[in-house]
Amino acid sequence: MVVSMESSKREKDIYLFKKAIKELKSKKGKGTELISLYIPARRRISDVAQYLREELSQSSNIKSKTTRKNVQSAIEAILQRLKLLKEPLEKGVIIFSGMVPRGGPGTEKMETYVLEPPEPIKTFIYRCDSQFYTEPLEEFLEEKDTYGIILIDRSEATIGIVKGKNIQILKRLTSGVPGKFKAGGQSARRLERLIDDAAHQFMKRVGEYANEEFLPLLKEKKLKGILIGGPGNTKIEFVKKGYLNHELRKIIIDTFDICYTEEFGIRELLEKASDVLKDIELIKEKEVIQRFFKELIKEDGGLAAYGEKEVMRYLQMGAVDTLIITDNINMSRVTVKCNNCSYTQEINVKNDELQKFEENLKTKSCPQCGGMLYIADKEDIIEYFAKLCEESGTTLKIVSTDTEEGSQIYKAFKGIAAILRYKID
Amino acid sequence: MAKKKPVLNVAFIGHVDAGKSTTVGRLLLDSGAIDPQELEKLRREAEEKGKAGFEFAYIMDKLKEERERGVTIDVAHKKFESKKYEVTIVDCPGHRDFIKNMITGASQADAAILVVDVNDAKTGIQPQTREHMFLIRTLGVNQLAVAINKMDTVNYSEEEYKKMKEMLSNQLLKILGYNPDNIHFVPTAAYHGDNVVKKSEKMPWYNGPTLVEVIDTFNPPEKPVDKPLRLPIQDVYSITGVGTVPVGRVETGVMRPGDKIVFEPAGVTGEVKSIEMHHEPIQQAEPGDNIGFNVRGVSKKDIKRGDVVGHPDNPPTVASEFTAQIVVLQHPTVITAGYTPVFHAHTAQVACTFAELLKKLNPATGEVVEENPDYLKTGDAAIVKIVPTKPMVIENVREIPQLGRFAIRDMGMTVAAGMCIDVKPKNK
Ligand SMILES: Nc1nc2c(ncn2[C@@H]2O[C@H](COP(=O)(O)OP(=O)(O)OP(=O)(O)O)[C@@H](O)[C@H]2O)c(=O)[nH]1
Ligand SMILES: [Mg+2]
Repeated sequence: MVVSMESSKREKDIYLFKKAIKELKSKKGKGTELISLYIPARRRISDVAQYLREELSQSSNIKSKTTRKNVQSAIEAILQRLKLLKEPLEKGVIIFSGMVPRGGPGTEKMETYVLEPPEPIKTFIYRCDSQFYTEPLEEFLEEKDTYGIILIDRSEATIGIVKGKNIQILKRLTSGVPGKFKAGGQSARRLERLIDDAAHQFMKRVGEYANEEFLPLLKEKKLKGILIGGPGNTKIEFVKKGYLNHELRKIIIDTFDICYTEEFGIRELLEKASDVLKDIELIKEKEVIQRFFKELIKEDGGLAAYGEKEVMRYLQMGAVDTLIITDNINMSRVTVKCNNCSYTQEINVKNDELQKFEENLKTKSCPQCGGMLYIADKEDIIEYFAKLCEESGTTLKIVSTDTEEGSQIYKAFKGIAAILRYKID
Repeated sequence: MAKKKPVLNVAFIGHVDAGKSTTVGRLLLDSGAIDPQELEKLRREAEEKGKAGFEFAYIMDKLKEERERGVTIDVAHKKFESKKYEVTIVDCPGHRDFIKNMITGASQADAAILVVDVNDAKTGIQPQTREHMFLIRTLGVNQLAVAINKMDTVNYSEEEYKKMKEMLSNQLLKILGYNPDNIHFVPTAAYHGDNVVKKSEKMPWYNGPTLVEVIDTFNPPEKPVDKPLRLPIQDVYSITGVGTVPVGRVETGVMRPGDKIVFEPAGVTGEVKSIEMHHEPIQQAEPGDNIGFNVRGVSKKDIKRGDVVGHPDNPPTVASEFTAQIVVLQHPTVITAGYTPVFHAHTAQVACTFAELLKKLNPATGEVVEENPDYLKTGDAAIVKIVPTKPMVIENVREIPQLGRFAIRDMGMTVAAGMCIDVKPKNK
């Protein structure tokens, strides 16, 4: 249980992290006046403060008056925040600060963000630019492990990679190897030679393309293994006869019998190789969703539940074993209060309907005392769900809609599905 | 000149190693389509390759890889004459890895002969026996016969034959809507020649027809010559001194040398120079004819298996989306919107997305039981909206039934079958 709690927290953290990056990236300063600061693990805060104070005195050289003022107040804001941090910094810390315009001119407001990195920070970065510098953050999230895939038979081949939640097709090749149809006048021998030769040329081409795509990845230490699939013997011949660079041959995980060599063959391959690949995000996600589907086909829907209302009900009862949410559901948990009595109501509202909801609220009045209603709190629904999950020891799985299964959860079940501990009528 | 016999395409289907190729080879030999000396040569080659017993199969299995491994990989066609027909035999691979080739073959058939090993009665129906039957049913091949093969391995026992016949009838054929009483079950030992062409003396208890006689009990296929030309491409060759030669079976309409034609969804046009059937030139290709034709103005690179030939004034329909009626045959989980398995229609295979589940139907009566269901599972019938991930040709089954049916495969099995009941053509 502890493990699942841990991973649920991680799921939530990653989601929030991604959300924060997206928000940060959307902010643009007027001049080069937005500051990004990456403090490495265990760096002494006093050293950092010292560095910043030097930057502060340097900044008096900035020509533009407003930029100078903005940079200086950003640095000062960071210095203030530093005082709140506790030593030692286990993983380090990331701070963004600057004057960000909210609308037209004169709408700038000082914004400061403090983030705890998911992994320890290694290098110190101080940057002053018109945008926040988020690339190192994105690198934290990037899946490092990549698997190479080659699908091959006598007539065609597909080269691709699987990384995190993504499948990427790099190359499609067709062979021109003649089939069984015999042209008039052609001797069987001659046809056989033609076929052999064409097959050899084809495998050579596939090998060359694979080397070209995979070797650089191997050099960067990103390529964890290669999976080779296809119908019949061609794939085995391809491996045995050394069409692939010897460095790459060493990391071949296995060959798999599969029917298709087109893009969709990769699905079949991943299915068959799921044991070897069980640690990659894509397979984990698939596995959870398949589990939900398997419950669904049981008599009366088994232990599956879906749809916002039903899942909420089970969540609040603590009856959910695993909660599956797509990362694009874009909803908020809104708390409505009365300004006169103790009336409160919590409700889920789609983000793009928030404004309408707020306007509608003005026309309504408190059902208890007739007082005025207002929005007291707004929370991202996924954060809200994550909190409920933590309380009831529920495993949380935030899935992306880039995968087929994820898009099924989104399209067919409106992005919210659950595997239950028990069911009630 | 004697009146030409009608053409009949017969597919041999069934699980790997059931003896399909051996049966076909035996049939060709005993009906005189193959020279016994040729077989002698093949026998020696099979022995050299450590594949003794495969000499009959070698007649159809021409590829080196097929011969070395003793499995059929791609479909092969061969002509022979029965009393009634000019028969084109389509020998299909049974191995599950090559099922996409089997589907291509089956989509060209007017009738099918299912070959099973009599010993399967002991272990149960083999997975590809089941899948092949699902597929031919899906593809609209409704004439069927069964060869219960390898009778020599059970001492030609009537009891074993009956067990196999019962199992197939009860556990498969009836479920698929066949009436076993209308199907011939021929006990054969193809390797030894029993009941393929010659009546066996070892099975006096059987007084039904031999396999060749069974072929003559099939009805000739309809010839929809009045419909627009549709010819799904099975393969394309580039032959030195000849040029581009696509091969495939004419499904509807008529094609003649000199015709201007268009390949869809490739969108390329060309002119037919000559047409060949079984290496002989013909002046007119009609529905059912399995032909190779030489086309001017088109390179091998431009077209591929799955493209469909038509005349430019009535070209094959390229779907941007289509509505289909489907039946879920066997699915380990559920079908929902967003699901993207592989669709096999005629000779094409394209991944398609379920865009919407419109209606769930009662599979028995066809009446609507639920609007916009969230998901479908095994046994469900439904009307759905499908969006191909790549351009593909499919026709409304009411207009051109031959190009309106499809099978859906995923995770190494056939999960559903259906037909297209409405197409939204792609704007060009
Ligand atoms: N004893 C016996 N063996 C047979 C008979 N028919 C076929 N075989 C053997 O079964 C094996 C497979 O035969 P094939 O004809 O290649 O089988 P297939 O159904 O074409 O197989 P695939 O095309 O690979 O699916 C060979 O070793 C044949 O010799 C038979 O009647 N009796
Ligand atoms: Mg065979």
